[in-house]
Amino acid sequence: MKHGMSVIVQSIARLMVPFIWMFGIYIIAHGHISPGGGFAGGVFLAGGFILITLAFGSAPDKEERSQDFASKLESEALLIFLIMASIGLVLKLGLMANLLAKTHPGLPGHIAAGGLIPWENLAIGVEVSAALAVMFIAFARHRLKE
Amino acid sequence: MTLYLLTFILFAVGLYGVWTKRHLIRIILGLVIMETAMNLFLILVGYREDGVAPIITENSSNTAVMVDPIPQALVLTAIVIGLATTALLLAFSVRIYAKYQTLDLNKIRNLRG
Amino acid sequence: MNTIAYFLVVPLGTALLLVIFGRWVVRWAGIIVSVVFSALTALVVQCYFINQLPFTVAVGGWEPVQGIPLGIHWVVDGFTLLMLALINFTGAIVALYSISSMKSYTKLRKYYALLMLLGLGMNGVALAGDLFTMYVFLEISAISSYILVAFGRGAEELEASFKYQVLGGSASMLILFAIALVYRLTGTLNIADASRVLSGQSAEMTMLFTGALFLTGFGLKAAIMPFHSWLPDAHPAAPAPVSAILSGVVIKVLGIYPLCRLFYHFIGFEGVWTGIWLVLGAISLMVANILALAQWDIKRLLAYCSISQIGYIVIAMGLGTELGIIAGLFHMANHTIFKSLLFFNAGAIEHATGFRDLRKLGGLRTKMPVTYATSLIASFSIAGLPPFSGFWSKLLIIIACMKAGHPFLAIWAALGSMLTLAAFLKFQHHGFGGPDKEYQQSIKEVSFSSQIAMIILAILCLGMGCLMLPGLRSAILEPAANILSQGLNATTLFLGN
Repeated sequence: MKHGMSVIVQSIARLMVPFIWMFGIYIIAHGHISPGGGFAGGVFLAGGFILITLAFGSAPDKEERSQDFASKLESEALLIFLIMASIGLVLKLGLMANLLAKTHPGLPGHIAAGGLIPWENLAIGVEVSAALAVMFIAFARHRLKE
Repeated sequence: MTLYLLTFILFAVGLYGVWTKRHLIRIILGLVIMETAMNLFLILVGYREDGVAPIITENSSNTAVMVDPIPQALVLTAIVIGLATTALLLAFSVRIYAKYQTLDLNKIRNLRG
Repeated sequence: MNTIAYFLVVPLGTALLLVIFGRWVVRWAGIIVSVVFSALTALVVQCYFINQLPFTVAVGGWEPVQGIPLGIHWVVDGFTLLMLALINFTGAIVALYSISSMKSYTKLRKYYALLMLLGLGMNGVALAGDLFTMYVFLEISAISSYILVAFGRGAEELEASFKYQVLGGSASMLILFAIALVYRLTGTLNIADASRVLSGQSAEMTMLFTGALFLTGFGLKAAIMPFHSWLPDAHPAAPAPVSAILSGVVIKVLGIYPLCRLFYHFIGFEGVWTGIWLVLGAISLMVANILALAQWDIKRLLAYCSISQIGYIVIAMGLGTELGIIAGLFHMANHTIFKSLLFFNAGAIEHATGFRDLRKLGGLRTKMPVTYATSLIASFSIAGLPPFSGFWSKLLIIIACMKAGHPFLAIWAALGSMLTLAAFLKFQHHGFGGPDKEYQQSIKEVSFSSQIAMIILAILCLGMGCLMLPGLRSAILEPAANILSQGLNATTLFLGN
């Protein structure tokens, strides 16, 4: 893990990762109108991160910091999702009530639709990618210790 | 019907692996196979002959020819749960390996029944 | 009615805040968690007073159309509220006990966050009105409990938790299989709606198979006797407060509660099921008691005893009569209290002396007076001596067996109770009685907060008999028993509003 892989892998990774991330963001952004969504897109985002780490390697102290960061990011994204879900609760409309859908319905099938759902998808996407990154770093760090 | 039978057989294979194998990774694989069989079964439950993706747009709003979306949502959730359990099991087997230097259950089981 | 969602939002929010800000609040985390669980318990009490039971709450405002539920529904009835009260009260007490007993562990903020997530999962299982929501929350609480069992990260903990995970994972898969079958058969996941769809058609063989899958899956989670092999490893391996919550509520909420809900409200208790439940209960009761008698490890003895008490609950619930259900629920509540207390005592002994082998212990009576007194109360309670709480519930179970025409089962339950008494006399004699031993000079009673937790539970052990008084009984136990004893007819109540 310290040294990374050969120059071929590094070049391909450099070429591929922007597209992988772009695709992940696309999946997250279109989660409310097509198959996919926060989880699937988040997996793509984390996959790009894993590819970079595998290709270029990383230092142990950096891994520890990024694990802490990802762990916090995961909790914060979920907390934001929870806050969005409980807005309806505070306004006596019930848990996960979709407020924006009433005031800003948008066009069906268009990306600006679904009220709160795209935003919730975004939070879930960040949460999932951070969670997968935590899992990957945790396993990778354990390997380093031996 | 053949497809249903195949998922049942896959499920049985996973169950067999979990109950008879004595190697931690193989047990985890058995669980993953069971889970996959279950996901396939759920997808089959929602399948309709010649069905299309269940998305209502201006062009296609005939719900009669769409596959059932609920099992697909269930499968997605089940996959997420399966990811978490598998990762946890693997993390535990890593730790057990660090303690015993082996993954063979016959060598590490020192707990009494 | 909106307050119901707080049972899910508040624990999840607390868990996340503990993870994010844990570094600064970890000193107070135990108190915070305890206060949050206490507040939720107060919310349950408020629900008893304010609302007309039962009622349903549609998530996200997706109300049913023409009586057909569309989205996720929380179903709240007497049974749910009883379980919620037990979950959150035990959570509060366990957090209180954890403050000092978990001090030696690292990453405490994660411990408290996991405790909150366990509470979240169990609250969700209790509230879920449809099968898949129940499954998701089941997995949340199951995964938290796997991690909590292995929180010490020793070899024994890891192995026990691995075994627990493998069996729990297979159980989840069987449950998911059954859920898929139900969906295929009825086209809905809502328990009440599925029961209504099912009443119009005859699918006996499929329902038999589905019922068997549910019984195996949830039976594994509840550790009913042929499926119990993980429990005597997992519960002793966990830290003391975790064992208390696992034995006290987790096996009931993840195992017994869904079983009762599904069998009474969905599958129906006709045909072979009564017999199967009674046989399973009888086996767990007797065999686990005999095995408990043979144990020298305190926590292992308590773990086997949990299985036998689950056997009592399964017998009482399997009778299907209203008296049987009341007895089963009453015993469930009692068992939560005294088994948590006994695990606290075992944890206190282990904390003070450093081991939990009864052969090495002895003479702790004078050194640990609070632990001694509370464990005596709990032991008498679990053994069913009057006037402690366990006596009343076991008496009710025996009377219910007699009335339902199973005198043999009544005698069997009484015999089992004697074995329990023998096991706990052994615990008392070897643990607290006997001569002083040389290691005793340095032994101190556990810290103040742990003592408070034990004393509260001991007072409840004495006071739980009051649940039999007419007023409390009709307020707490009877709504829960009513909703179950109405059987399949009750499901129309969950579709009404």
